[in-house]
Amino acid sequence: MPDSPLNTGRKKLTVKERLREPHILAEMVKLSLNQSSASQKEFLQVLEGLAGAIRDMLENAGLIHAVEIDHRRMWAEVAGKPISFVDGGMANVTSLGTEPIAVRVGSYTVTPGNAGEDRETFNMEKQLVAELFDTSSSKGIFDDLFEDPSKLRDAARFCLETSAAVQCLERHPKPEFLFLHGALVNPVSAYADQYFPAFSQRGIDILLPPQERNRKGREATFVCVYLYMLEALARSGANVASVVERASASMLVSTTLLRDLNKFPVSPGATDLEAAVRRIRDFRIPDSLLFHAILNEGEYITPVAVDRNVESKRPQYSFDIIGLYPLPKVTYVGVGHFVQPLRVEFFDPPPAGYETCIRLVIHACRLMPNYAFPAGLDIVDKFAKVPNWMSRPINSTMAVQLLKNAIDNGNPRIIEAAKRMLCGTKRDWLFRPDFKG
Amino acid sequence: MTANNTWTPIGTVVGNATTSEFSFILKSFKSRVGDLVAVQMEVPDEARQGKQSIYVWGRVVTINRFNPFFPYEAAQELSNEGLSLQDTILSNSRDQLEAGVLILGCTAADGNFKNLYPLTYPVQPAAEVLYPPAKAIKELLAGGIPGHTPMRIGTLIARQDVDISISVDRVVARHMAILAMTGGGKTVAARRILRELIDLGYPLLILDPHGDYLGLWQKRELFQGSTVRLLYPHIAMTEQNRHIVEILINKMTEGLTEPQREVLSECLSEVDPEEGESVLRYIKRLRDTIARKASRVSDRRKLPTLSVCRRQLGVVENRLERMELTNERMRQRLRHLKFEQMPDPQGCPEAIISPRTISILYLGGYDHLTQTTIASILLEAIYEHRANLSNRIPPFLAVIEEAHTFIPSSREGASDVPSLETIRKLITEGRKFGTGLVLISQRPSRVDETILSQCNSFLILRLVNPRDQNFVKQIMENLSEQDARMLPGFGPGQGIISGQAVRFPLLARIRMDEDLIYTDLGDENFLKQAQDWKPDPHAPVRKRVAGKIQQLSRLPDRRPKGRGTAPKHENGDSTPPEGRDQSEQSRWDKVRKVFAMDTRAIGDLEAVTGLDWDQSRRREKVASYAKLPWKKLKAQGLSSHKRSRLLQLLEAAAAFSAHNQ
Ligand SMILES: Nc1ncnc2c1ncn2[C@@H]1O[C@H](COP(=O)(O)OP(=O)(O)OP(=O)(O)O)[C@@H](O)[C@H]1O
Ligand SMILES: [Mg+2]
Repeated sequence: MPDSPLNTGRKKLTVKERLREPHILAEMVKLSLNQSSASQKEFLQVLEGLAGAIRDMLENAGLIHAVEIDHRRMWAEVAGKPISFVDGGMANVTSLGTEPIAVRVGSYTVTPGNAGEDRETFNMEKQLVAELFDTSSSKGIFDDLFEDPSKLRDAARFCLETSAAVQCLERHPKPEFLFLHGALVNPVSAYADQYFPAFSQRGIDILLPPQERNRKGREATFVCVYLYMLEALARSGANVASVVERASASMLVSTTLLRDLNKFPVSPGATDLEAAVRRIRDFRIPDSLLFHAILNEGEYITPVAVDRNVESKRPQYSFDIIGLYPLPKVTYVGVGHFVQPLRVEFFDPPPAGYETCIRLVIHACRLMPNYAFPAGLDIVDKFAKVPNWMSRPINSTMAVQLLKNAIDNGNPRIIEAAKRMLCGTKRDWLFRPDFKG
Repeated sequence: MTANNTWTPIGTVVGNATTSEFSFILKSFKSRVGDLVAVQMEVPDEARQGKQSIYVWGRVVTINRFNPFFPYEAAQELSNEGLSLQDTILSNSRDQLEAGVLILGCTAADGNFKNLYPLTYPVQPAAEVLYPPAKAIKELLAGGIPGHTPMRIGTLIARQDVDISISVDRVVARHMAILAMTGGGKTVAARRILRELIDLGYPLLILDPHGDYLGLWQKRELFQGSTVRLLYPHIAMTEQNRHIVEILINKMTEGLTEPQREVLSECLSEVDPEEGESVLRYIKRLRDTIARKASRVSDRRKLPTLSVCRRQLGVVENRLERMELTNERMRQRLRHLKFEQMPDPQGCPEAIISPRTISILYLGGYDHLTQTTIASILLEAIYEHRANLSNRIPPFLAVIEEAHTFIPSSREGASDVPSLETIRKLITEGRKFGTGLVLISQRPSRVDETILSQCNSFLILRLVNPRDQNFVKQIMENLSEQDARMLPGFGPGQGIISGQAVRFPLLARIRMDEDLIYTDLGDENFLKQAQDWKPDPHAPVRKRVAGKIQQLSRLPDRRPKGRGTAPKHENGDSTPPEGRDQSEQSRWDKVRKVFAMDTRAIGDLEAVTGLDWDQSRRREKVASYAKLPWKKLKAQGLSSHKRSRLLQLLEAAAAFSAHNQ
């Protein structure tokens, strides 16, 4: 049985014990729901076996690390050091029909231990998606040509978040640590063919520094601009990390890790490791679940470099560019017994203070309900979020009125938005970062 | 739009907006509770063809402050670990202020705020909330009620640059209630209203139990052209108000039984009040009448009934006398004020109610019952003069302080308070006859609910008692929950004004008329009085005289034979017990002869004399005592006190029959 949250931190469990805990069982049941009960049982066996074996190897290879929870030490260590948090979200702004989809990116910089007026800085960028891209060549960004307008929004958000992070590092006080919400290096292949609109001049002006604003053609496309910004961020010298709290179906970290383990003396050999990788794939065991089974609270693994832009998916148009993308180094961090581990990503090589970053994440999580998410990112998330009222069910007379207007207006975009407003839940309003491995 | 440029944006509408309220996130400290704010909005015009720009006006009723970024769990972690928030990455700089607004209505946005309409579309989320300049708000408020005379009573709580006026017309004919706990500023507010009405020359009458308004007389030179009169009560008997005697008996004594009441009404019909006769004198005459009846009565069984009636009248007389005296003493303390006896409201109403006259009836010293009786007689009479349309007196406004005394709720168990029905009449017919009322109370929940709810305008100042708050919520339909929550937080003179006298409820700070403050009668300075206190120079005199009289009263009627004057002792207790006993014995021997053959009961003698002896022995025959010698009376279980009283009773009865023969 789980202990109360307060003393779980000190207790080490075996993989088997962890897998018997109700919250992780529930996760497994969810995953294996549409499998037969025989394969459900097998699923548990496989998970238990794999997790046990992997933990065994990691421990013996010195790849699992434990962080001691000690608030006093932690905060004393970063006292006087500015720390930034950056997060963005999609927003449907104010009234329908007047303003289309926008991206909002917020940043929060705080200096622990500073009691002065300048302890905290908040910044907010709000940018209309349509204005970022050059749509002169086509009739409109929401035409059939782009069957998935959400791609434009994602691309816009990746760039704006990264750009906000770069700008954050140029401000005073310059942060020593910078945390982003979402993947550090997103997969780009889906936004990189010749049909994908280039940035408008305005978009370029917003995203790039003056000496980089003369871009034309492919240079002005997302895949090039985003790369430039990632490189700038990686070069900055700050301790940059990103945090993802959501479960995803990705198995990229565990399969990469298994293959990497072959280089260590603990490896039983490539054949066996490949067999383990196959098991993971057969049973579709996601990273978050596997590492939940492997890691105790306060533990993390040595970061692993993963490639989200595999050659097979790269469009020809930008094949060479995508090859230049940095590989993020990814770790999982156990933050609490009851919640899935957080994924934390760094550039490769990881910055000098990456271990401090991980400890900060763990301590920041302890300031939050269920320890599920670090406090600073939570603050900037709330700050950048679509205001509360938009996510509440809207007054029905007004909504009906809106829908009627939208239909009269005939603009499918507005109709779509109006519908979303009528039935929308909070999450529909915010297209949260979602890892597409 | 024209004005909009000078209107400062102070926040953004958030959350669910309806046609009656909305919330907005306030830029820090740009507004306060009680402020009037506006939102500009486009709505379909009346023809539903085009759009029309309007201002939605609202009043800020709540402001909540919260740190949206502070997770509750963090508080626990911080305190467990002894951490300060500042040492962590938590934020404490982003307090948010969320203001709740009650919508008052909307006007056209073109700068003409005369007409305020109900809002039929909700305000738009994310709309900008504007802080109108004082000029715009003044225009909105000045819209007032078309054709009505405004009276300035103060400013908005949140904006002292904006005056608030209420409609005189609505106050004088449709009544107003001023409710607040003690010290809330009721009297100050009432004086403010009175001041304006005096300037308009409106006839005014104030029932003033505590002398709070006496200073108006002192400051009378401020009211050029008006007369301020201070009156003290005088209950004159008239043909119509004989029943007050019965009310007084019922209230001041343990009451009358059915047969006793019959006797009383018989007497009441026999004794006609004389012109301008006071109740007190009338009651004295009634008592004499009863005494006479008793002496003549054929059916002796009636005597106890008569006796009780007479005695109860005696009690009333006594108390009235005492209260008259107290009131007089209180007035004497205010020697520098000139009081006049209250003119007869029936025969001479214009001496009380007339244009440019403010009559203040000072009720200090009277108990509640008498105050209400006086009020009832006075108000009834002047109401009649208005209601019979004789036009002898103009319309008037009466201010009733301590309304819970004059119109108590039936829950207070005082249903037949004389003024209750009178005031009910005044308030229901006020609109027809111009008998306006301002009711003032510090215990609203003790005031009659139906009467109070006839008031069409309310000024509610600080109220702390939850029962009073609930009561106020009940009788004022349009008092919002948020406003009600504000009541205990008001400072002196701050409150909510709502009802027909204003266009919409407002948070007001009542203007205090500093020039009406008078220092020498306000709160009494008991500390100083105690320090300065010297024994009254007359006290020794009183003591000497009292001693003498007591001494004298102990003397036998006539000097017993062969005895000298009773020896004098300095302490006044001159007669030794046996000596007294002896003299009583001889008096008894003398008087008992008169009654030796008397067939009457003790109660009959009590009735004739108005004296009480012993209720339990009332039925016993007088003769059964009269036949006993003084010493034997002791054997009957009579204490020496009882014996003396019996002696007095018999002596009095003897004197009475001697007188009537
Ligand atoms: N409008 C005002 N502005 C400033 N001060 C005020 C105001 N109204 C009242 N006060 C202060 O409060 C005091 C009490 O006011 P007031 O005598 O009107 O109270 P009240 O409600 O009539 O009390 P009570 O029930 O005891 O008669 C005043 O002496 C004054 O100091
Ligand atoms: Mg008062």
